[in-house]
Amino acid sequence: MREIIILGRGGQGAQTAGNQLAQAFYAEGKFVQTFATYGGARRGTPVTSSIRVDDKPVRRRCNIERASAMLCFDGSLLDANFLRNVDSETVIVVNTAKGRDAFDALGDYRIVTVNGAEIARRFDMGKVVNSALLGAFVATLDQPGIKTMCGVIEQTAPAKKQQNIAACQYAYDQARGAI
Amino acid sequence: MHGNANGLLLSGNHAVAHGVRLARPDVIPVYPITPQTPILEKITELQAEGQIAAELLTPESEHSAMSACISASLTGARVFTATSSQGLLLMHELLHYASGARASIVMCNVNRTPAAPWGFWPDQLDSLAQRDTGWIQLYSETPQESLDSVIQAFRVAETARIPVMISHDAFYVSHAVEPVDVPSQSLVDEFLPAFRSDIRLDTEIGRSFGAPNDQANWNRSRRELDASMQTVNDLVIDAGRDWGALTGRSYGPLEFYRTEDAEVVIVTMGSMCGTVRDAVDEMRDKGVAVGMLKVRLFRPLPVAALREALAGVPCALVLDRNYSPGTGGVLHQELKSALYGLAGAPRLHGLLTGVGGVNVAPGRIEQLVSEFSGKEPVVGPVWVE
Amino acid sequence: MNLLQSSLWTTQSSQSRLTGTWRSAMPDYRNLPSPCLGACPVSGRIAEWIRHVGKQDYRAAWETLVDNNPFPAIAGRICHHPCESACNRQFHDETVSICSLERFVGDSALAEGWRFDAPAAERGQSVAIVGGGPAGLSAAYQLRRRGLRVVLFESRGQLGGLLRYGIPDYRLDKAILDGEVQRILDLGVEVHLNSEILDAAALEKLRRDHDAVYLATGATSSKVLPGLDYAQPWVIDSAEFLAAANSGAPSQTGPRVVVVGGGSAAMDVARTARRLGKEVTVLALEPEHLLPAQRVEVDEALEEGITFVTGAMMKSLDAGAGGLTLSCIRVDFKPGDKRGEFSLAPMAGTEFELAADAVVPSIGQNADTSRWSGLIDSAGPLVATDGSWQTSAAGIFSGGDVASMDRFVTQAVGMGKEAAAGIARFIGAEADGAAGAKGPEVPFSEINTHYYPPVARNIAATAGVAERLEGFGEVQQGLSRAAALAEASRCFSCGTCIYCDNCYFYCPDMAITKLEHGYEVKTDYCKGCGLCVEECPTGSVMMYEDTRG
Repeated sequence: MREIIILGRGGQGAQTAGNQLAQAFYAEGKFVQTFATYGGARRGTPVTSSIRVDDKPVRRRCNIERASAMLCFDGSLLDANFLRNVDSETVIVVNTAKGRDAFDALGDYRIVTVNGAEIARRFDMGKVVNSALLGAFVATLDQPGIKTMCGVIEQTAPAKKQQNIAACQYAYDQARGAI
Repeated sequence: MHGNANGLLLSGNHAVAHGVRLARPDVIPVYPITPQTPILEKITELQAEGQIAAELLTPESEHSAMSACISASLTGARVFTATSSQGLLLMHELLHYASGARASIVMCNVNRTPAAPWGFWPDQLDSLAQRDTGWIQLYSETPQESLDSVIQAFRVAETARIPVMISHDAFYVSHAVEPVDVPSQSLVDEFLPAFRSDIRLDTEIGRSFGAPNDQANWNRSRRELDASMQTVNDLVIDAGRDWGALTGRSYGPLEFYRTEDAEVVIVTMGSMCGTVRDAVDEMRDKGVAVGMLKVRLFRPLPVAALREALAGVPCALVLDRNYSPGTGGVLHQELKSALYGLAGAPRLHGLLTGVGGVNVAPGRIEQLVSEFSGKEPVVGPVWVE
Repeated sequence: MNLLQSSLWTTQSSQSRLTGTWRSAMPDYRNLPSPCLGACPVSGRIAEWIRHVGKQDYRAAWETLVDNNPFPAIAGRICHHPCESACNRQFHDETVSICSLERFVGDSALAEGWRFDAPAAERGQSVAIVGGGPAGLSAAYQLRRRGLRVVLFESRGQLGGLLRYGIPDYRLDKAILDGEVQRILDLGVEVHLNSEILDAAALEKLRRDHDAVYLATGATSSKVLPGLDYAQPWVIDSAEFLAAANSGAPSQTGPRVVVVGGGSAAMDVARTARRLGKEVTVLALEPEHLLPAQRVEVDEALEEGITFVTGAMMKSLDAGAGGLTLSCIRVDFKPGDKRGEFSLAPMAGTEFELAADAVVPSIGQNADTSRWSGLIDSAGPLVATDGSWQTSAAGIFSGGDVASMDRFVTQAVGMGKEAAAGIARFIGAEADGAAGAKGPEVPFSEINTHYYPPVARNIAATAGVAERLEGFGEVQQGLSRAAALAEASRCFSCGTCIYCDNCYFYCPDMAITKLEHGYEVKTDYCKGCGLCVEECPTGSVMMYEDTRG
């Protein structure tokens, strides 16, 4: 079973990204479970989206204690509390304008940075970063494929479908290059 | 490919909304509250799209929503509502009224910690605290079960003339998006025909509900409620079996998971059952004779079935995701009472696990089994992390 | 499980609890008369027809009106409307403009050409009516509605009596009179114009030829002002003055006219003279606030530039080359107990003079009862009648000014109606009816004024003074439809159920049942709390002591 955590702040789209990623896995034939937990239904408070992927139905209903991958919408969330759920094998994709070395102080983690805001601006999407982040995130995973991911975005993006797909693909390509 | 090729990815709350759509209620009075709100939102959306024909009422509070439910139900209509935590507690007065007036309402409650302190976490105290209000209570483990239970609940409520509350845990079920099979309307229509009660507020029939009465008649009303409650266990069995015949998914008051020859049986309700299943499998793989007893029907508690199931089992661990101050876990209390005087009763441990929504993973359950299965139980509550 | 459902006990029907026995009082829908009904000279069901106006059912309003009075358009113009003085609404804000509403309905009927229904069945009996004024025409109408044959004798050339010869056009357009009279004639009345019944013998013949006679000859001889030489050309009798003016050939006088008298007829004379371009002075015994004319007539006369010299009398008159000089004196006027009675005390040292070219005494009319002597007894200046308006001669009934000092047009109409009922009973065409036992009238205190926010009264417009003085066009105008509806909504409907359902909704014991027209109290459940009475806007349901054993 693969377990993934998406960290974000209310309003950034972490819950939506979690649902889109789960749909991509589901589209590729996997059983999935995703749920978000949040403190207050309030913009800016931390939101955790958990995704489980398996070849058989997912039955357990508890928090992910050790994620194999993490997508972080906001570098400021990467603190000890959230890093308890990852280990040195976990790939952590962080949305930041900073360089990789800005996270060195956290310890020995497999951190990949993506400048979601820059990509969003490039595709005229303002502050909407989740398609770009998903593209970069998928680049670090063996599944789902980028075509599937873009297909889900096409189905589910409420507006600017083509820009969202382009941002996803762009971030994917950029991250593949970086890896 | 997986076995849910035709399933939709739905959250537990949206699955409930689809169950409501398929049950074709006449009236839906509802008031929003986190984490129930997506039920209301989806119902509203389906109604706006014309997929739900019910009259949707949005009164100023849960108290008023339940008042409207009772009135609407007593006109003979099929009625649904949904709430959570503080909202359910605000309804408390009228929950008694609904069952006393024999209103066949179906309600979904999303289990959430009651304040204070303020919180949104999965904890079943909100609905367990309503155990004496005369409502039938079902606890659901999965979004699929929530959808299926809403439809079955209407049949039970309308036959027994007792309201039904289906509870599912905040986030772990309410917000868990996973594949859900949504049955066809024709299938549901076959299972649950249109309802028009022959006992209703109708000048032609000339009945009232809730008018002042003397002691003898009040007593009579409770004896009749008791008589109806006695039929509920069988009604739940019938509904779950008939539903299984149509969908392949059968349900009952209790579910047994790998309890054959079990030395230790874990008893619990709601979302934790899924986690226990994984723990049981892992322990069985290691040769530990452990199983799970899932309590789906909490009110009326299937006492006879519980006694039969647990007689001769050496040890049972009750995992309560709730805490009744001054006592302990509510399910533990209920089990103690149900098993009282039973020959060969298990050593019954009541463990307060996951109170306030703290995480309980399969590994933790394995630890609890190994820690407590050999011990003698204590009388008071046992807090475990 | 179905067995369980059908036998399930609920709290059952609340009707099984009979809780009414403890009460000591019961509400009752007695629909007591409104004060306006009590005051109305024709006992018109005012609240009822106003309610029809409010619902814009003008036909029903008219039909209710003409049940008691075939002249709503006339009454709506000239009635002295004691109803408005009795109206409960005056204690809340202002009285309801009942008279203007009546005119609105009457005018609507004329405009729409509504007719009276023919009597359901014709009867053989015949009634002779002597006098085609308001009383005689009212009686003719009410008798024809009963299917009795009516033969009417009028001494003058046209029907209407005072309405035609005494009321000036500016108060009553004669087209209105013609319209409302014609509607009565259309019911089938045999009319003999220019046919005066001269004496007792002629009257006795009528009694022989018919099953009954109604005598309504009015008060045709003017009272004489002492000390005035009626033979002089500058003295003109008021009735003649008005009749001449109404017929379009007014009496010729000099420019200055003094009218002696303070009643409605005096006002009619003064205002007619004013319209003929005269300089007019009214000389009346009464102080202005006690003038017997309606206040509105006095006010309009003042507006029209008529000078009032009140609380004074003429002592003597000198005719000289430059005209007449009236020597007058102020008097201390004290009204008596009965209408028309008073005492006078000239006040020494208050003498003054008035100059004039003509004097029109208008101090009242007397009935001529002497011509029936031997056949009909008199009571003072009037024909004597009993409670059903029958005279001392069996079969001869009488009413109007000849038999009453209540000298108002609508009083005469009411008398005609009552006499018709008496006649019908006399000739066996109608059983003795319970004479509508009237309860006490609904007092203002029974009206729930919370349902009636204060609203200003709708008053009919009045023609401008300059316009009035140019001719004889009507002064008072009609209410617009919008104003009539607004005014109808001001009516409290005192004592008249308006089927608002307040009692039904407010009853805490559900003890009130709705009937097709009205409500019924279930005695088994009513606890006598009185909420229904409290919430009744119209006072049509009231509490009464429950006297069960």
